[in-house]
Amino acid sequence: MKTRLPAAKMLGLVSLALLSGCATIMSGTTQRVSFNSNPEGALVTVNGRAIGKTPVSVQLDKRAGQSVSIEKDGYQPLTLTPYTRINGWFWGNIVIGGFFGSTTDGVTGAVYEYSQGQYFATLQPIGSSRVEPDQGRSQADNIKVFVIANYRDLRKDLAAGKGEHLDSLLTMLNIHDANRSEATSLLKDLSETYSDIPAFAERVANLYSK
Amino acid sequence: MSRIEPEPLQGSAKDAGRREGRRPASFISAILPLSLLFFISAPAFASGGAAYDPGAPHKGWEDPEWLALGHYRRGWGAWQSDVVGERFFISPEGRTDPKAEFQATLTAFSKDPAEKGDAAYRCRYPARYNWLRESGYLEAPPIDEEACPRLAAWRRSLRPTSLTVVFASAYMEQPSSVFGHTFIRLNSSDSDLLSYVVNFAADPGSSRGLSYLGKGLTGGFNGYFSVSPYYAQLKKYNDLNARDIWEYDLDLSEPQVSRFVDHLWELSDVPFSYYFLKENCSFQLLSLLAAADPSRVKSLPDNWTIPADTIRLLKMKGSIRSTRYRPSPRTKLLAEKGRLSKEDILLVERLVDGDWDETLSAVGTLPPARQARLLDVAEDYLLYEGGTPPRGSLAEREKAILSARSALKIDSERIDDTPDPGGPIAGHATARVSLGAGREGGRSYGELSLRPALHDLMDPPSGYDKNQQVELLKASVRVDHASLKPYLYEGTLLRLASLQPLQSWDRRLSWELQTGVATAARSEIEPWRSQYWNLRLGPGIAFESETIGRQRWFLLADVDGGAGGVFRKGYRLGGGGHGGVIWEATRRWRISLSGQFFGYAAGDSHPDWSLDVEQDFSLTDSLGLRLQIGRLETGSQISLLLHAYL
Repeated sequence: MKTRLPAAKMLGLVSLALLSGCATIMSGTTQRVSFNSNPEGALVTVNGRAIGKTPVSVQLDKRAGQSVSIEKDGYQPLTLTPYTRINGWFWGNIVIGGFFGSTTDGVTGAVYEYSQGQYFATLQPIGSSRVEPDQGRSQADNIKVFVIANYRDLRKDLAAGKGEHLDSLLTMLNIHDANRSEATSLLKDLSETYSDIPAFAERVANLYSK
Repeated sequence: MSRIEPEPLQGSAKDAGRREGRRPASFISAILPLSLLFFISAPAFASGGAAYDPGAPHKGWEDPEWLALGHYRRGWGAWQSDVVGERFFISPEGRTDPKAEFQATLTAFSKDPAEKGDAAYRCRYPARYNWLRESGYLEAPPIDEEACPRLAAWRRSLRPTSLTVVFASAYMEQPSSVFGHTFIRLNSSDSDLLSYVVNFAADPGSSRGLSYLGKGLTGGFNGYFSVSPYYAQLKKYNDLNARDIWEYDLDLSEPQVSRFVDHLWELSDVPFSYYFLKENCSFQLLSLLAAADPSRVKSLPDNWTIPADTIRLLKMKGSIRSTRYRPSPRTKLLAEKGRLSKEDILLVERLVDGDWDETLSAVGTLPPARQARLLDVAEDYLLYEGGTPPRGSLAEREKAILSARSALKIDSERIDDTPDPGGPIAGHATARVSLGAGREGGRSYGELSLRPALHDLMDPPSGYDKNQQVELLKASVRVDHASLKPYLYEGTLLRLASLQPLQSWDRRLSWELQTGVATAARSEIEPWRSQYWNLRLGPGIAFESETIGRQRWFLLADVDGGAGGVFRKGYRLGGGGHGGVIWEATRRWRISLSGQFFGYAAGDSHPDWSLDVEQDFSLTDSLGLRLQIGRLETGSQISLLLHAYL
């Protein structure tokens, strides 16, 4: 995602962008990138080369113009292109920070970068239209997606003992009123135990009971 | 009853005919509207005569509800739907013939066998079906939920009880976001975050940069309605682009909400024409609301509409019940910083950037409540600096901060009272017309100016981002007093500026960009022979101070180019600086002092400079006075203009 840069560096970057036709500014040459998805077992292809099925990780060159696709039978394929932070008025593309935006347009699905270089994709079933999101997904999976997408807000709310994201999660978990404070402590303990975000999400989803 | 205003058809719309899929972005369709815009500069709410009298008796296909459900608009004496695909229409002539579509729909429903399941017409067009039944045009039983399982399952997953229009503030870095964005949230009783939103957006495929801008302006994209959870949309807008959000709850009855949902189903994967400046997200959302209740969205504006206009229109119609302000992470962070002592600010900075162990032990000596607060703000500051998710070493630091915070085991005292600066509902109207007179270079003149959108740094700031200037298609015509000769003094295509005051936690670059027709100040050439095409852009810095009101100081370094007969060699290219201060003295009164100097290395090397003192005084919400006194090479200059915001 976007990296915050001090003013002087920004000035330098912008002048470069103005002078050159297309400026690409990056640091380092490769990065370890991992992909996970809901549902799992989706085939990941980078620039046409099959990498493996989710969850999978790969060392990728940091350069613009790469495309990643995530496909699974019965689901609409998702194509990710490197996140170009275009200042649309100026004549240049600047590749800053991570590869892909935090969320792409939720038409065929969404991608969340929950940690540096770690992506979680949600796939949409084939045949579902743009107005039918998340059809057929189980509540446990919905919870998992919510936790991964809103991890930081959940941590903040857990630290505060209250908050909109925590409330929504408890609602999804079907936990109400009297049981909420106990559940909040449990969620807090889980967040401290599991620093791997998808693992935390999995544990939280397991708390769901109809 | 609604009134559909007439609207001139675009050349390309006629050509597109009944093809499914993309409309061609032809050169003619690009140039024609742009040149018309430029020289005619229609105000944002141009309204011609009514298409028909809502009070007179009419047949079903003339009913405003039917026209709203088909997204029909009248232009050049004919109806045309905004839907560009064929699949949406039951009749082959449906796109241009509401009557044919009406009759074909009735026929389809009456011949519809129940066993077809979700493929049955009644399951595909529940809004049409229900309206025709309720209005007495169709004798038929209500839709059996079991007979349309997919529709039923979808309605159950949405379960809205009310609707909210959500406005995300402008984002200057992206052409399509300069006017902000609106979408509609279908409120379910569970929670706002889990509620779904319906969004209208273009599907740009892989277009980027200028081709994206060009295609967007000329209808090269199709637009679609799509649904996603609110939390996903917030991740896109609040976080990604640091945009503030205002939520306006709508006052709609349950049957109206139900009609809205039914109609949304009818629009599954239905392609609409999409233009950047009109028929865009805000216009189509209004058209969607019109299907739910035409009387509420009475006169759809001429389709030149921006998101803020739709909010003000809904307010005017009494449709808004309540408002909620959601500050962006950046706004919240700066508000939090404002509440910290100098010492605490330093501690937070060290928690993020400094030696971890040393800082943690220093913080550990403080009372737990204060420690918790510092760690909370440190997390917010870290995410702002490092991005979400944080990059590089900040990722490790984030884990450390979160662990330290959890270890404290006390609840935060999170204060959520970031003041609401006033959303679009409080802003002046989009278009501005100015009339006045002045004197420049020894010549007196009268001036008429028209600006369809949007806001400059001296306009009343309420409801707008104080740091941003967006002017589109501003045209100023002057009439020379002595010779009575009229001439185009200014024809600005685009003038943008983003002045971001530097402060310790928020260091962003300022910038400006402008292009269009301008008039060079040359004492030896008459002003009506001094027009040239201008392009200026460059970065800069800004600062803020507060001494009797608020001041914004700025300094920009620009590259400047011009082409026109007024120049020796026909052009000039160079650079220079433009700086000054804008002072918000009182709520109604703004003063600016500015100066600029440009030198030209190529072409006509004659330098360009000016000094200005400008004052803007708000007489009412829609009237203002602007007085400008300046000095140019040709001599002194004075002008007085009366602004009307429409």
